[in-house]
Amino acid sequence: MIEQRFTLSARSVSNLDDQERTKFLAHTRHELRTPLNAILGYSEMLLEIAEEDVVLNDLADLHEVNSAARNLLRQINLLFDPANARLDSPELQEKLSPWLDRLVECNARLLQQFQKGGLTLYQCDLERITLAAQKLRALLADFTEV
Amino acid sequence: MPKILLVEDNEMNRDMLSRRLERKGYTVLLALDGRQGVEMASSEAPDLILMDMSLPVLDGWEATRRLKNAEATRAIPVIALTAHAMSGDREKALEAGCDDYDVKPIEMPRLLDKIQALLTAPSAQ
Repeated sequence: MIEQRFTLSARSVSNLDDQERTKFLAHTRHELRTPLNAILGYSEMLLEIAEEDVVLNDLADLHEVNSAARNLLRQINLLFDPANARLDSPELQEKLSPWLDRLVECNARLLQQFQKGGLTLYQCDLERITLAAQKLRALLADFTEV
Repeated sequence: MPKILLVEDNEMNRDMLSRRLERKGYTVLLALDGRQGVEMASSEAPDLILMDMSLPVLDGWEATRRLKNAEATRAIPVIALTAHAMSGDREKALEAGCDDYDVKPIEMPRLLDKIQALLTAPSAQ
């Protein structure tokens, strides 16, 4: 489902009637929350594993990935609230891109840390976070395309 | 340990949630769509079903209706999972026969509490 491309841009949402806009925003929010669900779940699972098994000395980047994903979720819930009458592409970029960039940057550092530490067992989970972040970015790019 | 059937079409979310449940000691069975979920509920007799609602082949609402209409599976508790989080989603899931409802992204402690509550409810004994 997350591979499905959006057919409307942020600009054209304002031209829809109330019922269509509500339906479209609910669908869009669902699409965006699906990769976020994976990012949050994998980062929380890795935090549980790291804390229980002490596999990492420095958990700062893992906490940052989780925190950035939570901020993205908060923003997406607000911006794509069906009560939101108008969506603005620059505003979406401004509010979402910094968190997504932060998430990708911290995850990339973690991957390096895991590779150096020989934690190959968990590398695939970080790679899945990378993949989900790429999907999220592609969905947002589709939506903000004008 | 209790056996949970997870019906979820998204590969990443299926992998992540099943591993998190296994880490908590549950045995997890996987179904990829609603029809497979209904078939596995009948053949595997799980203690509880986690049902994504936006599923291919047969959606979660229809799959739950079929489970609750069948003698062999009607007593199995079903928790609906959805990423929509719209007002009315909960009522729609309960009307289809779901015993409880939770939203994605999953808050694991909240979901575990709901699972535990249904597994220890008198009707589940």
